[in-house]
Amino acid sequence: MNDWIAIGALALVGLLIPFGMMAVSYLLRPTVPETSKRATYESGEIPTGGTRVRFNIQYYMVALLFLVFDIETVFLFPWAVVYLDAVESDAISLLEILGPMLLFVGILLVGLAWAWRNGAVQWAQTPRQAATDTDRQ
Amino acid sequence: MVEAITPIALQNDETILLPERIGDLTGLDQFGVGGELLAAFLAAFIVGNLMLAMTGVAGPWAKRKITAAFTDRIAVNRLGPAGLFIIVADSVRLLSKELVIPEQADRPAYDLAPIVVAASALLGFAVIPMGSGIHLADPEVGLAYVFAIAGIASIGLMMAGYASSNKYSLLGGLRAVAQNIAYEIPLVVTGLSVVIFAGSLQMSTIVEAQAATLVPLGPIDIPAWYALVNPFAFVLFLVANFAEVGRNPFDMPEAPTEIVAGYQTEYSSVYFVLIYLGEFLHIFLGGAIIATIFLGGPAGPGPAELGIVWFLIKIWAVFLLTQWLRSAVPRVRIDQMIEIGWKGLLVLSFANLLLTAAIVGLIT
Repeated sequence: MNDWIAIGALALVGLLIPFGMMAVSYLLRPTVPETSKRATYESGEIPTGGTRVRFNIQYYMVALLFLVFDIETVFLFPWAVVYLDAVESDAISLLEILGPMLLFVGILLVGLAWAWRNGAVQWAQTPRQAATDTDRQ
Repeated sequence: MVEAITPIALQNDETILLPERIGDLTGLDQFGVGGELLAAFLAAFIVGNLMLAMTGVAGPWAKRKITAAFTDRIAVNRLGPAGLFIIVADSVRLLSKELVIPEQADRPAYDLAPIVVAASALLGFAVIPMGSGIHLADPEVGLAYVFAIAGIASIGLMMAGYASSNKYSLLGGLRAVAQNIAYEIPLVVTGLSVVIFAGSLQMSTIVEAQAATLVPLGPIDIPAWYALVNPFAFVLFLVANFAEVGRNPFDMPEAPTEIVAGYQTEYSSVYFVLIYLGEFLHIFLGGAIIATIFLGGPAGPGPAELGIVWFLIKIWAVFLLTQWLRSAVPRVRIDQMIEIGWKGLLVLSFANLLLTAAIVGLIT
């Protein structure tokens, strides 16, 4: 039997379960419409300003870094799978198997070190925050 | 040692999977493609409901009981034996809550997010060998598949956070995604160090490779579970996994002291249940991955039919550990979380991968 048929079947079940629960809930739950009930929650206060607020640049920095390393792990997968077979066969020397990967990971680690030095993986602070920093490190 | 970790290099095709078994038992396999599809659906239905039942036990009952035990209190004990019937009462209570959708919500995304979170977690269980023949599918890319599917939840969380149009939700969603992506790489890279031992991504091959004997200890043979072969990788994987499923000490996406309930602030009724269901499924999926690639999967003393029991014990042990940490370990701050992930775990996981590769290369 094809594996992906079974996975597709589980995907179907994975959709049926939420939809089933939503159907049951639809039959059970009350509806009491009130205007103020649907306001955005802000700890009981009247919401101020828009909700698309400005947020820390850091989220963007780590997302960029993630892209680089995620693609790297994709490239590592085939290497890891064939590694043992390659080591066990005597045709190639260990240096030839390990070397290119060391170089590849090494280049990326240099990239990480660069990002580290530039503070990309350090939580960004506003100048005022930095001035009043009372953290116990 | 050298012989113990020598794996089965060939892909194994002999595993009888659950859909085939059901097709055999019910005679559905005589009806061609239609019967095959129906058997696959039945098998998926069994696996899906097994996981749903476990979440049902974990969420309303086990979580409360465990936390109560750790904090010296009494939890649910009124309904049924040891309060077990609270599961039924709570399910009805949660599902019969009114669904309040905020005016500003971005509708299709707001409604889809809970479904994405719940379905993506459930899909991961397709490739997990649970023992006693409960194994839905065994593709050659099993491990890569399970990491990929588990990663989809980040999209669901982002959708929930953004579409709610709430400041807490937005920040909670961003935190959740920043955390997931920071710990995804250490998780996958540490998982790769297991692949180096097993020489395959196929789940059944990884489990089989762990059946070898590591050291004979008197009458008992200590199996070559990768948690024992490479304990360093095991600890790294555990930490990265807890961050990945957003459990303590890494639970700031929904830190109530900072951002109310994070991405699920605006969710009520069945949507809230679905997001919670997804989170619990993710804890169990994390436990299932740990059990499969580090703890020998369904292996354990006794006959092979007991596999599912051992498997459930292992994933419940991981669940117990998450609840233990919840009671015992303080939450880290968001800046500490980013630094632990990118400066600590990432570097350590690469060190682990390269060391493992070098050691395997030298002793083989």
